[in-house]
Amino acid sequence: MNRKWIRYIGLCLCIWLVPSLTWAHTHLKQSTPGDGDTVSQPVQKLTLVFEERIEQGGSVELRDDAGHTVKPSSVKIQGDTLEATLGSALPDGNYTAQWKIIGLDGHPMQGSFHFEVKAGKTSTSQKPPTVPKQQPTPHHDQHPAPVKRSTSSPVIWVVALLILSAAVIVGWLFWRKPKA
Amino acid sequence: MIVWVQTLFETMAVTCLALLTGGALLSLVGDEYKPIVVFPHRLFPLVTLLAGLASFVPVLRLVLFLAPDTGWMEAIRLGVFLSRTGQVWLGLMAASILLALFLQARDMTSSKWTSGLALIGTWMLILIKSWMGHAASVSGVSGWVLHSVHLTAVCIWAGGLMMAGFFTVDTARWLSFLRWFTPTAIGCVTAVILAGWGLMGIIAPEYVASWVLPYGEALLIKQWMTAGVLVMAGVNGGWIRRKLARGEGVNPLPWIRAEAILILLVVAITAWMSQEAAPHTVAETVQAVGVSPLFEGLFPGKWHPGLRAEWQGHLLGGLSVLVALILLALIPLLFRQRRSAYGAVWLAGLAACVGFVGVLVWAYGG
Repeated sequence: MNRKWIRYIGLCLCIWLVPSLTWAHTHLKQSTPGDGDTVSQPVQKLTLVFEERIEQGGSVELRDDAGHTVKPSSVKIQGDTLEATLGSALPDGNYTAQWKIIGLDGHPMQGSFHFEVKAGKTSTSQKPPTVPKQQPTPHHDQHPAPVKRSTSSPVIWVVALLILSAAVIVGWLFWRKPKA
Repeated sequence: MIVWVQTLFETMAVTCLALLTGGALLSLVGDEYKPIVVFPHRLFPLVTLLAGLASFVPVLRLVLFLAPDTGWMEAIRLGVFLSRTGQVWLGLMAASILLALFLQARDMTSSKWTSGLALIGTWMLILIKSWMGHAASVSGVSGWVLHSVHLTAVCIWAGGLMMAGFFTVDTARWLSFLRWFTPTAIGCVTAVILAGWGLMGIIAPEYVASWVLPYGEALLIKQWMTAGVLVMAGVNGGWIRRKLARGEGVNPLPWIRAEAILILLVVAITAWMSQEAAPHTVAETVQAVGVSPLFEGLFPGKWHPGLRAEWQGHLLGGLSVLVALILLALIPLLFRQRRSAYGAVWLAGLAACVGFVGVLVWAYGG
């Protein structure tokens, strides 16, 4: 009996102590082109590597500044990698890649990253002359230092409200006549 | 929207599994060790099917996610037949259909053999169901074992309570029921807490920091709620038992039912949690999904990547925790004064809210 319990607790402890077990949802680990990259080579393939194996059925879609979408001609998913092949090399411009995948834990995830193509190949479409575009923000700059806002916390009111309702409920429960 | 649908159905699936476990368990023990229970004839095949059907929502979620890009047929092919979640669900559905057919053909209560087989079949469903969860998908066998232990123990405990609470027509042999059920329940609670602790070590190693995320907050509320359940269990397994042993007239059924309702609430919170991003590394998860609206509402603009709990002994926090503990302590008083058992559900729920806010304020200041 005792030995059984010790074994059980031991098992739990072992499992608990195993490090490197991740249990977060599957996020994008890296991509080519990377987030915020400016690419001078022709881009004909996107490679997205995720934190864990992903399921079949993921997709990625490109959108340029003018709002045109480019769908890859084929998408291959193997292990943790999604590889999208484009029909033809991308014209120069800023692109947002939007990905949608299913993690192995069965949770759908989506996200996006930006990159710019400057390969010297101009778009054949009738694009307006290049207007200075806002540079896409690199990933690590997306979370600037917190701005200290002077909003006061409503905590005191929340606590007051909760304690008031506690008083009301306790009163209601205990002031009524008990059952015989 | 689908989050609430999934919470509802997931709660239903676990409830069905618990009802099946409880039913099989009560059918298996001899008549002298249980009150007179009458199970409706169609109940067991129905809840068996429901346990499988209600688990479909995660798969549905995948299909809905894929459909805009791939079209419905392809989305169904990918989501149901090719994804891991879909395949495990197909297995669960097949097993639940088989068990439902068996229970339709043979009444579970008819012989020890059928109830024993039903119990084994139910356990298979529980094991497959655990395989569908996060733990198994990401940390493999160890996560699956922990999840299975957790779910099995919950099903035995909650199932026994629900079946005994809602389907007994007579409490004549209640004391001999409690004589074996109380130790069983204590064993289950121990297993639930240990396995839950193990799972927590995997999911939320930054436990305190995770309170800025919906998952961590739900976990904290769940733990306060569990404290209420344990107080109830103390009344049911301890005080009522002693009173019965002394031959004092007391009706245990409302108290058992109230405890079962509390456990179901905890199951519902867990079901809700299973869809949220698990806070393995809090800072990263916050960047992916943002701070929980609740935290942002309580402490506007407070979160930043370096935020640590301060435990500054905030008066308001300490006061709230004290109020929560008093609310929990009032539960036995309800029983003593022979007041409504369902009041305990209110007290425990309120204690969970007050205690939750109290701990947050304690940790993160005003």
